[in-house]
Amino acid sequence: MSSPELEELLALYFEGALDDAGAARLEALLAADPRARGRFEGLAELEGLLRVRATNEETRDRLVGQVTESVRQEERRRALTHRVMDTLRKSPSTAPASAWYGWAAAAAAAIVLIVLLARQEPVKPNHTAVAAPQPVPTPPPTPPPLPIPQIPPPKTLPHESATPLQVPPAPPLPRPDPAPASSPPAPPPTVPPPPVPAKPPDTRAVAILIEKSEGASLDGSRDLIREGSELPPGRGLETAARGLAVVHFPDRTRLELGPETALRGISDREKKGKGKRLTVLRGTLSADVTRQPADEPLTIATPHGEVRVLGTSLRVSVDAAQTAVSVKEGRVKLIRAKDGRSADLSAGHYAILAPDLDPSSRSMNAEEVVLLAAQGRIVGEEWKAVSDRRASAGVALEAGATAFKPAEHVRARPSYVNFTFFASADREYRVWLRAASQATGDPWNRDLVTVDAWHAGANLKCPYFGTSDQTCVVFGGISSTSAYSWVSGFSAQGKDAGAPLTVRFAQTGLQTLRLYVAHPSIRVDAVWLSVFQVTRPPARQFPPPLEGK
Amino acid sequence: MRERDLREGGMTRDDELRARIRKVLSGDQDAYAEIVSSCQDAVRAALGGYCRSTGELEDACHKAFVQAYFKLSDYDPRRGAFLPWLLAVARNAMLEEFRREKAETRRLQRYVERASVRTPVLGDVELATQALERCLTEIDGADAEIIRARYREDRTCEEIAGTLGKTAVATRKLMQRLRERLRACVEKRLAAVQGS
Repeated sequence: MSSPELEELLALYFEGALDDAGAARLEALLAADPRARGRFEGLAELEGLLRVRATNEETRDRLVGQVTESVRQEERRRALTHRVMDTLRKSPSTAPASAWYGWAAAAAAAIVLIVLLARQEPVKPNHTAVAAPQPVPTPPPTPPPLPIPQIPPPKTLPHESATPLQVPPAPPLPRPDPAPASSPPAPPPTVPPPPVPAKPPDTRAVAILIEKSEGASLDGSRDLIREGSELPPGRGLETAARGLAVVHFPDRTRLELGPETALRGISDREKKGKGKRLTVLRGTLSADVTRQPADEPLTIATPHGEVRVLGTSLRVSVDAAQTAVSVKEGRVKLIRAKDGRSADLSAGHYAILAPDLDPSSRSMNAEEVVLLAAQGRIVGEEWKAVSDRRASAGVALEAGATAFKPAEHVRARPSYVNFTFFASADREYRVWLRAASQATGDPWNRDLVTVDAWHAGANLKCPYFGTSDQTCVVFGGISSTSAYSWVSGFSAQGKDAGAPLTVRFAQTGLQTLRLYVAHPSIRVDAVWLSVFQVTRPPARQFPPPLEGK
Repeated sequence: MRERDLREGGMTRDDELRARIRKVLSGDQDAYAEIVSSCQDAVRAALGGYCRSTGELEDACHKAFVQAYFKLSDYDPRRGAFLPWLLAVARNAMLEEFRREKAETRRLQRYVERASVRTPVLGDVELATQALERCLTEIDGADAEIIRARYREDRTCEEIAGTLGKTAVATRKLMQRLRERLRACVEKRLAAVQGS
């Protein structure tokens, strides 16, 4: 219960002006009232925060310097004391037999010790000698300079499900639900001894397996395939968690399977008009395809569609939710399984085949990545796509209700929006979010979206998650205007947060970024990863146009 | 959904601190400068509520870090994160100082002791700081000026009162009301973002 006396005593305490009698009285009041104790403790914590906020860089640097100097001085003092005492312990055994001389020598040594200690540099003002009972640390070597803060070097890490793969050595993928390929071929007999066929069977090897690591097997059987062996026509290959396999067709078309990759029905050109064919059930396949006849493209089938290749260098990544195709050289044609919608993909472009995503070609320009709302794959019930004339492409992602609080971790959340895109490992990307708040009322409760860039180091550690190892960042400042605006990091309402969130990906290739609901009624128009946009774009600015749109 | 390795992209903050501690214990004294630099705000926040002035707070932080240096070999990473250990050392250093002073000023030290073991009222320092920044945007110019004069310029209520043309008593009351308002605002903001 508050009283004028308590209020006055608290005010005097936090001003630092409370005398001893007042301190005694305050303590008595706090001891008698638990609520007053709680208030006092909260106010003490607030006082600490206000003092931290008022601390400037000069004060911070000064503390570092003073502590370092004090530690050095104390170590020198301890080291000298240790040496002198060590000398004193040894000295009596070499002294002459005269007792008087022994006492005089000990007294002289003590005087020497006192003089030496008195000559130590005085402790600077505001320093206090420390008498901690610890062993003396050994004198350190010449210290290196302080490291320049930078984004830590990223590491190769395991994937989750629905995660696009990256350049080899790629991490393992989860196995998707069993899904038949769009056109599974009928496997021929492994040992074909026909009686006297009118037309001899095709016993040519499809390809020669020239390289593999541990765990590459035929169609996922237990029998491992040896290097140099021939692959029977129509059979498949499977690699284990750390496996690798390379297949050469007679025309020098080359296929490279990444870890945890399953191919089925690998067949060479069987007859005129029917080119090479294979099915990727899951995993990563890189292909260097020799020029094929125009009417006999190499066909790569996946659960989500087909890729037809006439002569190119490309990469195909398949998981449960999507197939990502990127083309390094040449051209390919993509055909989505759901509706037969097709797209042509040229060198330096990539596309995603998935039932609910636009398979249009996207540039692999590593310096600007724009992820529009329509390119996000919605998982769960917390997000929905809505029409919005103010959005760049007329569609926005709207956050709905969530059972989770912003400071709760995102690891186990069932609902998010997933973006897959190409980015380079040797770039630092500023991450900007174009968003608007649809709600009214207290801005604090309609201001946040959580952004999670996978396999990337970042320059910001989100304060919402304390000392935990969460790598996602809660973006704030969305409620600062009623219209769409750009935010990055945890900007305070109406203020610039300083540096935007900057990420560096662990590997070049296809990346994953996810959005999680922090507050409902937030609409997201786009996510823009840019090497060059280091300052907040004007609110009215749309993201840069995509190539090929 | 398969669990991700959340160490991707680099070490966690506590990993970085432990790596620096290993360097210090190996003789790299300058690695301790990095520890002081990264942890000093947390120590200031922990001690600031119990110091009478900015100078006293800086002295307390200084003593805390020097003591912690010579106790670094006592820190056992298996028992928990480094920062709570450091804050405990800092609070104990402050309590030692209280005990050296006159008996009367040892009062209220029990709240310093309690701070080491109770759950913080306002929670994580970084998050609370964010909430505080938001709350400070909601106070008007005159009140913001009082906050600035008190904490950035370290002025007493008497000095601030002279500027405002008020009495010291009235200014002290106003200052206390501002603290209460900010405390309530920060607690409300944190309750809105933290899970139960």
